[in-house]
Amino acid sequence: MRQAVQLLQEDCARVAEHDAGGLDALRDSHLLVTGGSGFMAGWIAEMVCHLNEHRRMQIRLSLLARNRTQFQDRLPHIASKPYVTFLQGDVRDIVDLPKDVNFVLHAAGSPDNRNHTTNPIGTMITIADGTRALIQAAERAANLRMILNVSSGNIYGRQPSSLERIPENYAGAPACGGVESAYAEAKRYAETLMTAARSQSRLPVQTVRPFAFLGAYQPLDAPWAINTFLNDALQKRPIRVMGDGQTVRSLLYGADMALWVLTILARGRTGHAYNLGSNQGISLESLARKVSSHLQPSPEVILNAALSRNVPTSILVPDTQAAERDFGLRVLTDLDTAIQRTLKWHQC
Amino acid sequence: MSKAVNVLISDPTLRDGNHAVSHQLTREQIATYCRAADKAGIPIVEVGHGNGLGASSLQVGLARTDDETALRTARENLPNSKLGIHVIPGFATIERDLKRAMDYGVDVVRVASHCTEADLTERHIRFCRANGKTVFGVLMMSHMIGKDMLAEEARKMENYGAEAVVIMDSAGNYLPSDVKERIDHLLETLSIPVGFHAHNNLGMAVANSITAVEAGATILDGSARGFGAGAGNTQLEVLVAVLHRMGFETGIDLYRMLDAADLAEGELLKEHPRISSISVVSGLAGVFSGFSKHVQRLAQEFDLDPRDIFFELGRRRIVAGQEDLIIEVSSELAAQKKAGL
Amino acid sequence: MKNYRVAILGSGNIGTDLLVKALRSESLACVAFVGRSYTSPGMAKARALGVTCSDRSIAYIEEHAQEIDLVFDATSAKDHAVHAPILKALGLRVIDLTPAKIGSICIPAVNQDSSLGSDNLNMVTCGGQASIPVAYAIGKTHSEIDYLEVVSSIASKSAGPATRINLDEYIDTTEKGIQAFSGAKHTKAILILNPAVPCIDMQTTIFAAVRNPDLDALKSVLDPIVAKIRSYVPGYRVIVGPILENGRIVVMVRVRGRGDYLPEYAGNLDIINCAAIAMAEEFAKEGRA
Repeated sequence: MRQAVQLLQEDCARVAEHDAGGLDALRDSHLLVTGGSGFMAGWIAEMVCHLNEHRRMQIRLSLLARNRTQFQDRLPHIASKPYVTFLQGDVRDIVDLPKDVNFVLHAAGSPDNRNHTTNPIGTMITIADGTRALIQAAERAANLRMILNVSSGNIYGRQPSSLERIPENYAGAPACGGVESAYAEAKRYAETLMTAARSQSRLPVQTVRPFAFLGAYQPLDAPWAINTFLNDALQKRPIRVMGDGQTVRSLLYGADMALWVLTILARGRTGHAYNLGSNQGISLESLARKVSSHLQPSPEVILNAALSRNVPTSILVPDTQAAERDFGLRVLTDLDTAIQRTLKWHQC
Repeated sequence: MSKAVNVLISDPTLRDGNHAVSHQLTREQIATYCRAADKAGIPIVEVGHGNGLGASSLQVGLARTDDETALRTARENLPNSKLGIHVIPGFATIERDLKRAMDYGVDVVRVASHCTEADLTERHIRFCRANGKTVFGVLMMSHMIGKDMLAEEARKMENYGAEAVVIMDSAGNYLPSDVKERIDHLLETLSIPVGFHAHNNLGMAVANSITAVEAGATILDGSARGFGAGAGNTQLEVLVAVLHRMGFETGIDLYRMLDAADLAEGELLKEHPRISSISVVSGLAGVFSGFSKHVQRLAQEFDLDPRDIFFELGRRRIVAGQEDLIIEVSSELAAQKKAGL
Repeated sequence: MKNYRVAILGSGNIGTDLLVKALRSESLACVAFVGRSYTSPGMAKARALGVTCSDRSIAYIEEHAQEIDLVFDATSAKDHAVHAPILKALGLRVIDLTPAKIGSICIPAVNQDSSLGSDNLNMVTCGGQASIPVAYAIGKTHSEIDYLEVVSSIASKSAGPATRINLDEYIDTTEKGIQAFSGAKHTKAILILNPAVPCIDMQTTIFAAVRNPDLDALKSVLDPIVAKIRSYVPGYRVIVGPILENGRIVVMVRVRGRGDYLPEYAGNLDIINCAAIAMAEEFAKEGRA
């Protein structure tokens, strides 16, 4: 456990070195994170620990989540920090924000597409009602400086093969009524609701649209290719790639993600939306081979080309020029390091 | 056959100029300038208190000529030009002010709000449209927000029924690149014409107006000799000359425009608008130009440096219409000074 | 003793903030919090506070009239026009927080005693609650007021869509209120919304053009009135004046809210609610006597 904590703190320290004072606006502030037991909240908490303990930022962190046990199991070292408060509750029932809250990261909502498929109604209602409740509470928060709404890269719909990376102003949308559209459509709705709150209630609101991530706090049974690969590798069995392996994704390491999110929260201007992810696309086959190369002996990579159909290659890679231009944000942990650190964390 | 007008000039000499004389323009001055402006073929002539209809007040300054007299006088002396008014919800109400103004023969209503508060204009814009008047939306102090939010507020006005949106650089704070960025984005976002109203605190009024028009703005405001709040507005006769030289058509007769400007200098202006040292400070601090007279008066009364007052007003992000806060700021600064801070 | 039974009609921001204040009161017992929908955030708050809630609006009040002494109406002017005759027929006292202008105008610091005789009290507007006491003091000490003006600045965030769309009615109601209490020949109200961040506190300036200004006399009348206001609105204070500036009497007041349900900067909403609670507490005293 101690090793695992140390590993994440090293990552945070390495990444935070690149902050040129952009995070200073967070000094002495109170940050509330909804979805407080998730992947994003975990890394944000790690980064806040680093900033408080090495840069004396004195950030107070409140994590709102439904499940206290899950929080304490996953983040016991965070739960014991004096500057961390766990708020048990459902964001849909939130009436008042803590009075002195300055920043809100609205990260509630599971991105697990298996849940979305089984429970699309619950998925949509949770996202819609949670966002509504948060807005109504935030309208009365006197000290609020910024809400960062965590949307989704899925709101763009399918990335056309002609487009190497999706920019924020890409006007695509999920297919109306599709099984996999429930989550994406609800996230679109939540974004528009947040924008409406900015316009009507003068709430300071920004948006990030997350793509795929890698790192601690992602369970190995999470539904994204990288976790399957890591799981296969850690179980010392061949890494099985679905289809022909030509699908293109990109992965941003958790520590980088935390730095991006906190920087945008601290420095961004109301009304802006940023893609949150790596702009470096990689085919799943190459990704599987990379994972394999980090283990001795290296597990075999098995493509399942025989079962693949002749459909256009799926690409999902964000254009992140806006975040680079406005905040100098870029990928700081290269993919090899990210894979190596993630494997190590799981082995701790 | 005259060429089609492609830049619509709106002349606020008798409205914004009122700020420069503490709202003391007389009926005779209004009549005289209106006749000259009409002869010059100025398309829209704006008349009224500096903050527009219903704004004669102890807060901003009592007008020497009431709204009814000013508008009726202007109407009588503008056989061809359109008569425009500036209307800020919060000052002017529909029942008390706007209905009557329409009876006095106003043609163009410019409904204005602070740049972030466009939703205050809904009812007034709707009322004008319902009564068949030309109505523009005006966003004041537009330097205080970025292009995205400005476009969003402008879009609200378009949805309420505004036929054009004019952004004001009420503090004279813009540089040409600021103007271009905003006009470009407004034109991308809106489907109605866009206009620009400059102040000359940093000496950029004509340059900024030209930048706006080159970016695609089709309505420009300018005052004779630049007669307006603070360091004044865009000097209209210069603007018209430059536009004509660039090949734009305004429908204005330049010689007669110059005559009107000479007349304004003789008949309206107490002092020639100039970029005084405190105007530079006001522009840099991003403070509403109309505050200039109040700041100068209070600086004297409280024995303060007017520049300190301007910077403090800028720091507090005070908006147009908050003249009372100049008193508060001055009394606070005076107390601090007394305490030796 | 919490034995004067009040019901709150309207579960929006005003109603919910009133609820928090009523629960704090030593003499008021909030017996019902009534709105139209259980899904509103106000209802969620009320339930969390353990207050009896209903989504049946005025019908609930009609059925439970025997258990209620006073109703706060925090709905809308249009709804109050419907509620007023019903509440009157039920014999219930009403404190109306909408701009319906049906009941008699009430500013506790000025006309508390005479208001106790009315069964429907109208709380004017936030600007009115802040400025009328000052206007009244100017009227008391000056025989001829040519002109009186009140300018209020509020945080943009504290003005919801209803406030914005009813701006003209706010101005009209406030002008009539200051005229009635000051005797000024002409009055004017101006409202400015300021979007500055952090939000500004509500601030109101009263200007008066009078024949023979007497600041000392004004101060001697104003001071006890301000003390009285502060007894029910602790965040109310005079920040400038009275002074004579450029030929005008100037008094500036600032109102910082208590931050009960609404944020502290929304002093504009706090002052009208504090005034309403203060009056309900007076009725409670009377009821006991």
